[in-house]
Amino acid sequence: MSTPAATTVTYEDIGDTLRRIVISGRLDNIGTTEMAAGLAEAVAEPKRGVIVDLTGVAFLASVGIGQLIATAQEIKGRGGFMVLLAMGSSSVMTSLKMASIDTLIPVFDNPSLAYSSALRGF
Amino acid sequence: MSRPHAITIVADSHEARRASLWLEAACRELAVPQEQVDRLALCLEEVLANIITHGGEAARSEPVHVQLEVEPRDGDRAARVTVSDAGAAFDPLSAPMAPPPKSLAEALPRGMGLGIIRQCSLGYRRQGGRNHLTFGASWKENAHRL
Repeated sequence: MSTPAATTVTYEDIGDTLRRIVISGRLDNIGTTEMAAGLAEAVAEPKRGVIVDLTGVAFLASVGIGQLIATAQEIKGRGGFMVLLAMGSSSVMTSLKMASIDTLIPVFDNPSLAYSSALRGF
Repeated sequence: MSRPHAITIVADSHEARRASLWLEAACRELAVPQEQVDRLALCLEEVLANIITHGGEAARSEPVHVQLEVEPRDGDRAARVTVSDAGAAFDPLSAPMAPPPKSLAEALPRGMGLGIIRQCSLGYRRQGGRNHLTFGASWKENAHRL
């Protein structure tokens, strides 16, 4: 068993109103702690739409889902909208469904649909 | 029945990650389909997180045992994972659980682990001063192989 790389957060802006945040690594307790500051920095600047790209996440536990919920609430609280991007048959999608979070935060496996939903706000 | 695969850890986050990676590797070795591997690894993570957070000093000072078995069941195959810890008695199958939130505004960023554990759990017993929780997943014999 090799040691997983540290969990990281990067982001890019798509125009003035949309930000894509990319999380990579394992979102267990260790990984969620590693990425918390980076995620907070990535959402500090208000954007109308935020896509959190989880396609590079190898494992998502409830502690990581909790961080995503808190982030979505923060963004919504200032009038923005957050969606998740995850591969259709992936461990991340399994976690989101088992935690029933796909009913609270929109989840897409298609980047184009994720972008348009994040901008529309539904 | 396959020879049980087992690992012993201490109750902390680094060891929980080690156990999760071990379970994923052991499941792959036993040709457990990826969807079931994902469910089992998530359940294990949540069970260990509960032990670390709520098990108390006894849980942290005594080893935690994790055992995996894969066996035929009713023409299908089933994987069973048993976690044994010396922490405070806790039955996740009967513990009170908050109703699921109806909206993002209602959602709390914690407390989801119990619901995940219940979806996989097969049984709980308290024996010899330890919790023994078994959870599992099953699949068709002819499901895709890794």
